[in-house]
Amino acid sequence: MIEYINNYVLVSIFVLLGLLLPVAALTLGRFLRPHRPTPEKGKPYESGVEPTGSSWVRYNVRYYLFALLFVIFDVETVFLYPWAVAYNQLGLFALVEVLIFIALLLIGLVYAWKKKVLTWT
Amino acid sequence: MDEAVKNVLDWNWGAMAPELVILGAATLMTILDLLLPAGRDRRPLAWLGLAGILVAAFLVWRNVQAEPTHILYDMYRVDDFANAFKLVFLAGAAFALLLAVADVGPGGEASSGEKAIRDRGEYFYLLLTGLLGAMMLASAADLIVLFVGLEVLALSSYILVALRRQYLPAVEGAFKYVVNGGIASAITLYGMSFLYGLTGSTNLLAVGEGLRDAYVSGNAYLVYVAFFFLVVGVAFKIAAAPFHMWAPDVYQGAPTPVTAFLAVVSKAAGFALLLRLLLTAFLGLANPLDGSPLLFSELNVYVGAVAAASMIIGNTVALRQTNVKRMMAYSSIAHAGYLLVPFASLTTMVFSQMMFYLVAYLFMTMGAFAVIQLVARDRGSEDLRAFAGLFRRSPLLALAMTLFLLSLAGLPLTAGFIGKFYLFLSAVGREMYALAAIMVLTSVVSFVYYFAVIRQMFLRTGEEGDPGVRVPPTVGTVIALSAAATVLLGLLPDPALDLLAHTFNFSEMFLPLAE
Amino acid sequence: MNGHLLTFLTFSPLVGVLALLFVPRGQTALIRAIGVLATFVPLVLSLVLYARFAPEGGLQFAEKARWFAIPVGEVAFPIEYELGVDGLSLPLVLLTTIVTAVAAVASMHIRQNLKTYFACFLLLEVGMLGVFTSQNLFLFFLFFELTLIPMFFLISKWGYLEREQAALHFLVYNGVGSALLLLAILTLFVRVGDLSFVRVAEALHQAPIPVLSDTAALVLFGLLLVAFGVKLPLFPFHTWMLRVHVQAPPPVVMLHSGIQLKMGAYGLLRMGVGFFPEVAAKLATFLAAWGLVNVLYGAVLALVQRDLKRVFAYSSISHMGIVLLGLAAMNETGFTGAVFQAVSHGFISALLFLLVGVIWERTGTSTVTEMGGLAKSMPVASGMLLAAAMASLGLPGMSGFLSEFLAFLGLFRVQPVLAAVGAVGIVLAAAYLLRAVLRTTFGPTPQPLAGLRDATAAEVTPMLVLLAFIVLLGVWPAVLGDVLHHAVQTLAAALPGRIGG
Repeated sequence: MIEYINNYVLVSIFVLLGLLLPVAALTLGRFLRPHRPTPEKGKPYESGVEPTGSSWVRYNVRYYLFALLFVIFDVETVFLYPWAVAYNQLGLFALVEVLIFIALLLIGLVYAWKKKVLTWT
Repeated sequence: MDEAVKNVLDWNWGAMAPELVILGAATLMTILDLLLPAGRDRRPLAWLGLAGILVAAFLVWRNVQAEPTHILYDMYRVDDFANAFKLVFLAGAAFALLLAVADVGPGGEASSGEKAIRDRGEYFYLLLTGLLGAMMLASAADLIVLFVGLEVLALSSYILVALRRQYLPAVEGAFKYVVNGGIASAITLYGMSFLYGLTGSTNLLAVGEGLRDAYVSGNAYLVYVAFFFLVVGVAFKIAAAPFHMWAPDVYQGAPTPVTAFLAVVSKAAGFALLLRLLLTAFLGLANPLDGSPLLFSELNVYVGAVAAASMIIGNTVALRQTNVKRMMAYSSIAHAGYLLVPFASLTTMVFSQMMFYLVAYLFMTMGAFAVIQLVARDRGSEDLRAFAGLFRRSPLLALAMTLFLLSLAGLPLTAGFIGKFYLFLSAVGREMYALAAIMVLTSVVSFVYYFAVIRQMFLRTGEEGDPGVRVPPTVGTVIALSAAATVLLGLLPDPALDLLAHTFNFSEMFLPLAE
Repeated sequence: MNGHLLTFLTFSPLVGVLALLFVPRGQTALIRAIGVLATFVPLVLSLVLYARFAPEGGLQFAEKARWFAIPVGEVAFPIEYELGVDGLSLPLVLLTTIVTAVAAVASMHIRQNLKTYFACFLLLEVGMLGVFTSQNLFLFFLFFELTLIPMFFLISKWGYLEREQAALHFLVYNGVGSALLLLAILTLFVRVGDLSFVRVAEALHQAPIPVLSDTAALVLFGLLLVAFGVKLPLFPFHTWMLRVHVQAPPPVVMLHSGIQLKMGAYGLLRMGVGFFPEVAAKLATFLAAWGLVNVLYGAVLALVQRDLKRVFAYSSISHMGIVLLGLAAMNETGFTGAVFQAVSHGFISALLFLLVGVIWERTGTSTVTEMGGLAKSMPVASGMLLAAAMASLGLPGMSGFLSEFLAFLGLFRVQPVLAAVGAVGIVLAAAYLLRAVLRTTFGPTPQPLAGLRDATAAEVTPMLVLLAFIVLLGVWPAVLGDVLHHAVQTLAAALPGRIGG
């Protein structure tokens, strides 16, 4: 039990340190830097372009679908990379496994394609 | 080759054959669905799925007679506990599939209009993937596999509920289901993380042993917390109070075959999870002072409270429903409560009690939903009043529905009565009279709403000169099989009881298996 | 035949149900004929049963077959199909078959959905016969619950204006009753491991170590008392019965008042006293007091009712109170009186409600104050009504007198004070019955009721049959007493502190 609680002590020290460091840095900066505000400095973009309209912009839902597909193939790469590195030790069966994996993903891709996820209209 | 990496072909994949068949069927259905031109009838896919289910059922039945085995380093066990549940899942999914065929067929509710389902391929193969998840859940011997199974089932169900895209209650139900389900999954996962944290293993048997040490070495509090969280997750899955709020909306919004699937397969999977996870992990725990097992003396009180709350809330709130599917949702909440009774009053009978009731529940619920589906599509309404004068229009259908409702209410000569009688036994045997009393008395309350449907069918007159309800052969098969089984299990329960007691060796679940 | 006589008897009405399935809906005459004839089959079989019954024999015509077993670990607890009759159940079986046959004949005023009506009617008869013939708690419960479903339909489909509410009340009250019964049965099953009447009683009485603690026995007896008290019905659980009596169609009330109430009395005797004689003996005073409350409550309220049906309904409560009084006497005479009262009330109330139905058909009312002078236009029916009322208030020579006499005689030996107070109920019975009946049959005739048709021959026949049995029991009680003697002796012998029989 003691060990278990010790772990929490460690975690809480980390949390406290994590909070303390940025707070300390920012407070310190506030004391060291000069403070001369002008209207231009208050603007969100210093390029001078005035932002207009609501900040709640509606994005097309297709971005979401693309993002999903992207993540899937991204993860695929993450799996394929270590397999490729260790290809020599893993041999034929790992190849078969990977092929099954890719095939399943391919079905998914075809599915998305057929369901017109890849077209933008 | 490294010793640690076992050759893929060395595993006994035959043990997993039923799941592989279902996976294969689902994949094949997906591919065919993609290749078929858009306008083509998708219903042949369902027959393919049904064939897959039958083959899988045969393979599971063959496993029943075989020695229990495990593969993938005891992550996946094929024992009789798993086999029994898989048979229930397969039967439930087959029935749901048959109902789904009629749902999108000519004249079906989902064939046109607001409630139309356009993704018909998905309708069929997602039932199969959901089934796959449930089967994995039943066989899982490892927290990870357990969770993967749970999620496969859950994700398939979410989509299935949302299939009627133009129908607002469906969208509402699906959304509630996703959000609530997500929370429940998170809580389950949190509970599992405690198990892993306390024992350092994800293997259920190892977790069971590790927990015993953790409990006596001063981490009792964490053990309780883990149990608490896991029960929350299970309670969500089986729609037990107080985690039942999603059920009415989901049951109402989902296409009727999917509602039936959720009510039967998903709920049964929840009970598989309950027994597999909680029994293996927590059965060994004993109070260090008097040596009494925790699951019998302390933890069961908590489960008993959930059971009592489900029975009371389900049966009383159902009284006020006018939508039949919502009413059935509350009825299913109440049934979750009944089914928790043997777990709360744990005895060695728990497996056969739950299995018998689940089988009885499978038939009576499937039958009831099949009739509801027909009436709803005939009248275009799921209101209680849609049943008015059904006895005049279609006497056989009305009699079948009466049978299912009487069975759900637990009246004699039906499967539901024998099942409930069996469930009571352990509650009375363990002297948990309060629980038994709640069970019998809330059953009486349930008479009122079940008889409300019966009253509509027999005592109200529909419009004069209505033609009878058209019964498509697939739905007719489901109703006939369910009715026959409900009567048979009620009149001659002996073969089924005998099968559960002697053919299925449920205690294999706790057996450490050699490589 | 002898070997399976009871099975044939119990399930014989099903033949009628089967036959009805094949008759087209329009053939009302044929449907009616089948429905009535189907009730004659069990009637004949029960008469055969009575003829072959050996009065000194105890349990007879016993049948037993393996049905199924509940596996618990390595052992399996059997649940068997067991039938049998003894002196206690035989009279009630006869009562059931006779009253049912009469009620089937008296169903001539039912015109709608005849096919379903008779199907329900016959199913109900199976349930009622099963209750009295089963020798196994599980089977008993099964039949007990089985009566609920057809009864629900019979009330809610063919009853009067508020029939559905009455049916729902009936269902819920009786549902709660049978739920409590189930709880008691299960507890016994778990403790004893068997459900046969005989073996449960043996286990409870003869086991060297008591199977149940005193408290457990008391609680179980209490459960049974409430469960059957709802059926009987006893005072605070009686409200549903009033609704049923007022709302159900007359033939169904005949079955209900005539037979189903007796299921409660039978259950109390068979299980309450049969299984827990010590507890019953301990609670005798309490039971007697409760019975007394019923007798007086029913009588006083019957005195102020304006509806003939409610008068008879309250009179049933009062008369069922006498059953409880006889039971509370805890001696042979009292038990005999209780069973006599049950059977006699079965015939009398069947006759009374049959007459109510006949009058309703002609006048369209059952309110006492709206009627009068029926004797002029309907002399036969009025005479019958008067005769039935006389039987009910205990005129010597009719069955009511003897049964009440026996019940009170039994009680006088042990609880003279309570019995004396209870006798007031009999005086009140005379008052309320005569008030209601005389008001209906004599006095001035209101204008709309002039020139009514008297009861037809078809209506009079069932009345005559019932009246014949009432008189038969009154003048020759041995037909019932001989059969009953042995069973009552056995029951009384199990009571504690008995010296001799």
